[in-house]
Amino acid sequence: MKGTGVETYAPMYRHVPRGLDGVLVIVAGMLLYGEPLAAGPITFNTALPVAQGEFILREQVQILRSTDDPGLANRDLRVLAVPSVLAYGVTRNLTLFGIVPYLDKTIDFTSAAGRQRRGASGLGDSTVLGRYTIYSRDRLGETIRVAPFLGLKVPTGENTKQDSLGRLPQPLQLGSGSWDPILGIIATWQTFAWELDSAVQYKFNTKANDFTFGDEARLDLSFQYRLWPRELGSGVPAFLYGVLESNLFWNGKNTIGGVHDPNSGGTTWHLAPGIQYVTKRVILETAVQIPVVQRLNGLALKNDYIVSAGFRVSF
Amino acid sequence: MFLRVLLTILVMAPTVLWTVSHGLAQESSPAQQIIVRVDGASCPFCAFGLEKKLGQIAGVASVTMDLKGGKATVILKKGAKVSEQVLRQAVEEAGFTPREIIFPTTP
Repeated sequence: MKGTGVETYAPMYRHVPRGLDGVLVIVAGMLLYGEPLAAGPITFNTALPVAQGEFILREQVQILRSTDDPGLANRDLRVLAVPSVLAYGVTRNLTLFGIVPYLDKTIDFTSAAGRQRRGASGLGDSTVLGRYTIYSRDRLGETIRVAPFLGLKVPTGENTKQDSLGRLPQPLQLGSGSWDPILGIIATWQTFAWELDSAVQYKFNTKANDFTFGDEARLDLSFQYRLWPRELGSGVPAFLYGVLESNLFWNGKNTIGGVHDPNSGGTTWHLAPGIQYVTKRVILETAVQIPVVQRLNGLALKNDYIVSAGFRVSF
Repeated sequence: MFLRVLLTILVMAPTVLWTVSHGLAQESSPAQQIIVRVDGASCPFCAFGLEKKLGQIAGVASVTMDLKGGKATVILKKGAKVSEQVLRQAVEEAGFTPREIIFPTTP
């Protein structure tokens, strides 16, 4: 490995089982970039409008657990993410989003020294997004919208944290240290009775600390069905939606010192049943993302579940 | 003295009469109610943005949304007037499509 640059990282990874990179990259992608704000999906964005000059705040708690270790280290990964999202309607078509997450990552694993724990907590990398509605068709009680978006992940999270075992491996850091562009497009079809959303997103991960996370792509679908009230009365009644979402997530291999990590990246498909209570000013919601397919490279750790719960408020 | 009192009454009377009659007329005129038909608002959370934008228009006292009927009822403050263009602009700024706007008919 001389001359590849990987030897630079050897001490850093000495106490961490191989395959840690992959799962954490996938975790980061799934947890941090699904930021719907108007009523809409729970695990990704929507094309519904934010009124010009108005703000919407979203707070969410996401808990991830991954224990299905194909290797011998018996890894147990827990991630708590609390992303705060603020959206501002610049015009009727242009909405800006700012996302700042609090993260708490912990991994337990068995090494030659016995059972060990590593982790970090604090503010993670932030994201700014701009979404522009390029198509809308409104009818009574129905709207269809298409909105591409562009964004940038900004390295606000600490990315050189150390513990008693040395510097934390890059995927356990709170931030990547890199500036990563994001682009995608969302389509939404909403009626009084149901809503259908679909989004495609790609994130170009760039190099920092001689480490490049694999690029990320995702394809999301969401169907929300009004369970209550069964008959729509006058005024603006609160809605209770049953929600089913699908998240297909692809993650490229990480590159360490110019060499691909064979135990990183892969493809996962999660289904997420959920429930959403929507009033005029507040939305309460929860969903559980359950892995259906996980084709991960090498010894990457498989996900058990991701639980999300939170609220959105318009003010 | 008598002439001065008479003169004062003659000068003041029209002013007092105008003030009283105008005040009574204002009291008796009902608050203006405008119906704004809107397409595209399909959930409660969307309706809030629309209500808020219409409620921010100068002269608007209150706004009540009927989601199923796709209409917002805008109540104006006494004596206030709002143009159709301003109402349409507010609906558009909320991200929706304004349709028919029904002003009260004057007898």
